[in-house]
Amino acid sequence: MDGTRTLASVAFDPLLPTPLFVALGLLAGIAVGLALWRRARGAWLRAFVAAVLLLALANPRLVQETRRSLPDVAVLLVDQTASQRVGDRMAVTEAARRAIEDRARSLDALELRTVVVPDAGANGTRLFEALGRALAEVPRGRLAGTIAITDGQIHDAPEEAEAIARASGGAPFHLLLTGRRGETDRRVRVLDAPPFGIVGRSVEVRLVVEDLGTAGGADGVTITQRRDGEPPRQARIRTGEAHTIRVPIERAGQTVLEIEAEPLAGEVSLLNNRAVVAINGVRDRLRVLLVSGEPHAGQRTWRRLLKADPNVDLVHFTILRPPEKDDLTPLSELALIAFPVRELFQVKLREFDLIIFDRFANRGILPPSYLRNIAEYVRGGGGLFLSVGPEYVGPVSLFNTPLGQVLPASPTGRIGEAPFRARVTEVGMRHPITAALPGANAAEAEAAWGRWYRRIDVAAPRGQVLMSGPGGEPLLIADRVGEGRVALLLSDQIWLWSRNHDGGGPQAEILRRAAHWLMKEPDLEEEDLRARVDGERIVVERRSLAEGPPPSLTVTSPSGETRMLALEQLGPGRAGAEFMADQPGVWRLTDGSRLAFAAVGAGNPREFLDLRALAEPALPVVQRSGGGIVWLADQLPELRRVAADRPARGPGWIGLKRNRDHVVTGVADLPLMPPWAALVLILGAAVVAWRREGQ
Amino acid sequence: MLSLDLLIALWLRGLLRAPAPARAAAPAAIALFLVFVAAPVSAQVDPMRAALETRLAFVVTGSPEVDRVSRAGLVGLTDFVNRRTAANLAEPLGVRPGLDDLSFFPLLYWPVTADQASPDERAIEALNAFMRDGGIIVFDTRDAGLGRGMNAGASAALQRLTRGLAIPELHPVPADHVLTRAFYLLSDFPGRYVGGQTWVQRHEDRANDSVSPVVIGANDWAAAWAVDEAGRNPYATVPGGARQRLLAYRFGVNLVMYALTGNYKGDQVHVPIILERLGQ
Repeated sequence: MDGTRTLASVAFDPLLPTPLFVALGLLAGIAVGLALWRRARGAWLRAFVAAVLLLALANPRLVQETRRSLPDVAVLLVDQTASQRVGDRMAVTEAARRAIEDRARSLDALELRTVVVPDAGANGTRLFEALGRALAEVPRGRLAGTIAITDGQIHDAPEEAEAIARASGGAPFHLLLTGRRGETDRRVRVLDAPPFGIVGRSVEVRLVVEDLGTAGGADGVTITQRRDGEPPRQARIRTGEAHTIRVPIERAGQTVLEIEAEPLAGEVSLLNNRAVVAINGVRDRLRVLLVSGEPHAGQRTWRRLLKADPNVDLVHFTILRPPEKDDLTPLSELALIAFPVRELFQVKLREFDLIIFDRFANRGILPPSYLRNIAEYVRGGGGLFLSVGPEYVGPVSLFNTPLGQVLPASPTGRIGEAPFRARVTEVGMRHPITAALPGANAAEAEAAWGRWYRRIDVAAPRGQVLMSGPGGEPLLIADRVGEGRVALLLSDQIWLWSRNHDGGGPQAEILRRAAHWLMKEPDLEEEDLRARVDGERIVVERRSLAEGPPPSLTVTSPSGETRMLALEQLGPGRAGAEFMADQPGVWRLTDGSRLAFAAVGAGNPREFLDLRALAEPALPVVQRSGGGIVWLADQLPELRRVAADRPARGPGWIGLKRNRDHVVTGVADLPLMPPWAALVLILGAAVVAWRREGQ
Repeated sequence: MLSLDLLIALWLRGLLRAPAPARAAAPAAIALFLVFVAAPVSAQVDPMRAALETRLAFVVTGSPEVDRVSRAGLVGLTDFVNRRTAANLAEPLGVRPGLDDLSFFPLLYWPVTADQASPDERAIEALNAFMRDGGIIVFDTRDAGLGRGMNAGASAALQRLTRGLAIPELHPVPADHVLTRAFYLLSDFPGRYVGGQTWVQRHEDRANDSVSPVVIGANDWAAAWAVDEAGRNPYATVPGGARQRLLAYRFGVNLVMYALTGNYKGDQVHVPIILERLGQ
């Protein structure tokens, strides 16, 4: 209500500084007193003159003020952070907000300002920060109080006495709590997770499962761990006790571990029963074993490629002199050594990340057991690359050794010798090894690559044919064997590209990508679903060798809502999409078979650390400010205006302070002794006085 | 006044005379024409043959005698390599840089003669690409030791021939260089003559497996390697002896192995055993 009142008063506004005025008054008083005492003629007149003069100097005025009283301001804080989305908290919050706003409207001289507390990323609920900003715009004398609708999980509550006193702005702070009293919540908390791990070793992730709000002590609980889409593994652990999980880092790039604890009966939310740990696998150094056959013009292509990379430790094995060419040169004049084959092919074989055979013919150099070791190495998860020439045909072919079992294609005995240009096949266009190679063949056009002149014919290849030679015959084959991978290049001519024959070609790119695919680099997975965070957006990419339009993804937000996301075809075998990540925490995406995670902000944000509704965090501020705590599940409180010195809470109601602040809207100012009147009076009286004195 | 000033300025800077290129162009055009007419038109390297087999090559100098020695030398070396190592080389070829596709060859033997023509622009481009893509050029000035005077003017010719080529900074082959242990253990690299200094790239280029793109020597290796139709060595070694020729062949083998397997013998795995054998 707009209360306007008028107040009048007389005010003095001396024209002289007070001491001087007093001195003048005294002087006049003494002079007049002396005159009266001596009964001087005209003394009364003199006294009148002095009095009028003093009065004129005192400058009396009639002041009339017009005042308007100001409405008080109350702040309504509405917590809309992610933890408020648990259960029916959002609906309760919304109902309470409408009711409070309605009731505030019916109170006179009260303005209600509603402030929404949004998600603050990894920082949790910053309710007092929002309040501080709102209070900065409210004049101190007009704050009637603060009402906060929240689950009470506030992460910036003040802790020092002074800050607690300041937080409420000197008015009651009332807490209206969503949720219920005595809620329980089970959570998985990651205590320690290294962000990086060396490929081939394990890292340790320490975590604890805690039951909040329960009276009991340690209890058994089943946890489930999922890693990169592998079958889930379960373990039984005790609550409240740190548990260590060993995570083997099997490949470079991200390894995502998801840990989920079984639900606690009656717990408020399952959101924090899950924790996600992302560990970046880095390769220490790449260990590559290159086994080459007779020295030929192409051998150095491999060495130039592998030796130029400072991250590669190359062990190169070749036979410079076969046993039958021994010319009895004394050993002291030869640089040839007996290669430590047993150490390489038996003892240390599994330490290699990749084995390359380049035109190797087994002329009794490696015993079958060593080749069997290599086959086992591949089945057990190793990578094998073969570049074969004419030696692949005939009795010394590696296909006729125990290694043949893991090779994807058998030689037919034919060797094609004619110029041709390699082509990327249709599957190859979608495969990470050969997709989008510079200069590759388009729908009709030939590839802009140099010619090759020899191809080894094979029958019935397994796996994927990525490149083809004349007549569409297989040229490059990629296959999976057991846990491992094999790539077979059916020509010994790729070196012509590195020598830039006929324009050259992308040999470095193909060999590099093939090597990384063989080593299971996630960047080169042919069936892959990945998500990454880019600012506030999540960017999804899906790769697949399958033809046809990509399926839609199911996206699950950190707070558990699901929605569908359509993918857009980006190129052969590649599809993608992006969307706004409007919540912190771990987003899960799946195309039905593959699962991807994207952690926005901290992977396990504070917001979900404890999902119980609690009064405790804000309790000191409530108590210090004299506010009330109301569980909305019990009742919705009445609003009352109370005088500043009265209690601001009672059963069923909360109070807002009445400040009676006002502004002066107008001042009327009337001088009571105008100078002209004073002049007339003084001069008139003085003249009469002089006349009386002169008589 | 300003125009006058400008004209005076131009005159002072000598820009008022007829543009020089117009006058220089005529002889250049004639020279270019002569090059095209004089050069043989057809290339002799057949890609089907060259791509399928590994073989050595020499640069055709235009001097029939020198080219004959080069061919006989590489034939002799090829035979030696095939009999004693795992490599199987095909018959060597003579090539003309700029005309023939050099990309098939790991190694180019280039005897330096005083009167051979300098490589033209296309040849320089082809030779630089050859070295950049991993090939090795072996220059042989054939004037070391007692051979001095046999090939007068070779050093000057070498400078002339390599003008425009991307020759890296060189230094004498160090005692631990892979050329000294690529197959045989060698301490010097004799040819028909002995005593010539052999040079290789000073700084190792990791992108090229630390292989020197150029080897420069003066011992007339081709003459020492050469065999005639009857399988004899037509050129006597100086000062002589079977040992000198054997060592010349051994150097040839090391050179071929260096070209085919690069720095293989420089790999760490070989070093300890070789050091032991060297008694160090």
